[in-house]
Amino acid sequence: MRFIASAVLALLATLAGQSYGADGSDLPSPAALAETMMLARYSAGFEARMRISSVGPDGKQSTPFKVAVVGQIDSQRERLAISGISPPSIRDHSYAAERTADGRIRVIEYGARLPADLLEIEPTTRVFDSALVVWDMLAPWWHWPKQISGGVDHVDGRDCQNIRSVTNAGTPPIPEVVSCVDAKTRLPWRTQLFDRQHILLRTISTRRTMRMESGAVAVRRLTIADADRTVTDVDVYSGDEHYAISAATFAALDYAHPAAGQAAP
Amino acid sequence: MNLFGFALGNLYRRPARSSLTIAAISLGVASIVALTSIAWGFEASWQRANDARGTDLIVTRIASENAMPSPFLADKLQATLKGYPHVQEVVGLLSEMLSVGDNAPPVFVFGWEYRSYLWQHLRLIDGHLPANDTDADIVLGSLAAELLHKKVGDSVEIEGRQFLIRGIFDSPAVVENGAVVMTLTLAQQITDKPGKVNILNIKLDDHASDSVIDDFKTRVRETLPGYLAITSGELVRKNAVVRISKAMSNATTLIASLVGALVVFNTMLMSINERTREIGLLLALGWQRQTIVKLIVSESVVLSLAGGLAGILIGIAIAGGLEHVELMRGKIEAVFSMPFLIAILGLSVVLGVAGGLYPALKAARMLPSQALRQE
Repeated sequence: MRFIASAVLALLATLAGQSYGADGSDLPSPAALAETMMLARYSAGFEARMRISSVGPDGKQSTPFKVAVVGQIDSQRERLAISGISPPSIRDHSYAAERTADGRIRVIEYGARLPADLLEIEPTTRVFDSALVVWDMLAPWWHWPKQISGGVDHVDGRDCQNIRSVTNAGTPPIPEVVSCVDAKTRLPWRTQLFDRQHILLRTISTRRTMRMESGAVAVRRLTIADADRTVTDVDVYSGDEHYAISAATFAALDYAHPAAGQAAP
Repeated sequence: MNLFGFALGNLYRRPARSSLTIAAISLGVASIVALTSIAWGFEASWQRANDARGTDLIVTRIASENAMPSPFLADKLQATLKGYPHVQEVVGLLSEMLSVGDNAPPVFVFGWEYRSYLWQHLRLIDGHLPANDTDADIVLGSLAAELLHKKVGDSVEIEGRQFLIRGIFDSPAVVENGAVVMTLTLAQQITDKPGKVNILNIKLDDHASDSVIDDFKTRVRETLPGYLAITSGELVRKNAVVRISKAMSNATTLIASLVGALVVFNTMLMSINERTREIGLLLALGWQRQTIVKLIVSESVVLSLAGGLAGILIGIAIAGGLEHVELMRGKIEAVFSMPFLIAILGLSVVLGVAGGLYPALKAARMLPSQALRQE
């Protein structure tokens, strides 16, 4: 079974796996590194519990909330389930997301009474109105065919290799992503997401890491800085590298595919 | 006046410099005392928690070096271990650091198998233990109750669920006093880890000897790949937090010792430079060079010993103060031992000798004629 290095990786391929000994003189090609990042996220099942808090541009702090992210990622499927833990207002609200065969990200929002309150929504939907975006959590840019090297960079005093991922296929909500990846730990220290006009939408930065049972390094805390200067902190406070996925975990995805914005039958 | 009195007199003549030197040494020694006592206390507290529960052996995952080992499915393993010789009980435990309520700092939340031996060492101060396996009832350690400002009958929110506080207990282990305890079933439900535990506690019967424990360990190693049977002491020593805190305390000891020796060295070097004529006069009066060395080394040892004594007192006060800081309460416990404190005083003497030796030798090598010409 592959490591869950991706456990928290749910959030942006932020997880790590085994080192492959890259150093400054022996950097892997961008395509190879992108593939490694993709493989590092593979997991038969993981859970990560996160505490999320945001401070708006006016310095006002929004009510923190907790979510549980369950994921299953392999060559055949990439699925995430995000459930609200607290406060009570989000307790029975969940999101399920998957990467479809054609590379599209499909997101379902649902409540306690499946399938009555199930709704397919835009992949760029923010989780409980925070800066956490479901699309980002599946990190689809590692699948894009065009990966361009951006050279070596330094983020918070740490060396990393810039990779610019670009796509023109279809109408992806985000066509360009620049990630600064630590080739050894396979952690993206910084991920910047741009729109079609190359305007920076948000920057996701790794702040703290942790070593997991598998030996892989995973993100413990990250920050999402929005273009409007809202800053969101995501703190992983608990997790399970070997989460047992049940039939109910992704049941919402198995219901009929209603058109976006319409309630399921 | 004897030599020691003469040395004391020299130190009194420069009170500001002597006080600053003592203060610098005492800060270094205080950091050693505080950090080491907390590192030992952390280890001792976990050890006491396991000893108080009456656990003889712990089965956990091999790679587990976190504060609590990673969770694993317990059912099959538990059944297998129950079949081992001399095994009386195999009890699962699940633990997480979770926030209790909105603004409270995270606390340890322990899930213990309902009616297992783990509950027996708790001394109830108020209320009762959970009445059944699945009711949303919890018990709080006395420190946790104080920190959360809760009493029996109140409710608390953990991971989005409300729990009724059924009892408040006291435990020999500070870790447990600062914790929330619920049944294992409940802990598995709220953390979405059905059937999982962090560790399996093994209680052996009264006939189990050391060789039985060794056989048990070997059997687990050979027949249960991925798992490890260890004593609670071994688990605590493998704990990453214990190892980090010990490494930090060792590093602090090394750095503080070097700084302390340099401070003494600098002070004594300045002192003999200022007293060149005085030392020259003593030599001209017939003092032996050996006596000059003894005088200077005595002064440096007195300085470092005074710094050491003050540092021990400050270190004890710092560690005691940290125990009462709200964020730390129930999580740390300082442990002081007399041999350790004596060793710290010994270290102070070594620092004094090391820092004072070169200045003393330099002073003793002076020629009286040259020293007396010094302005």
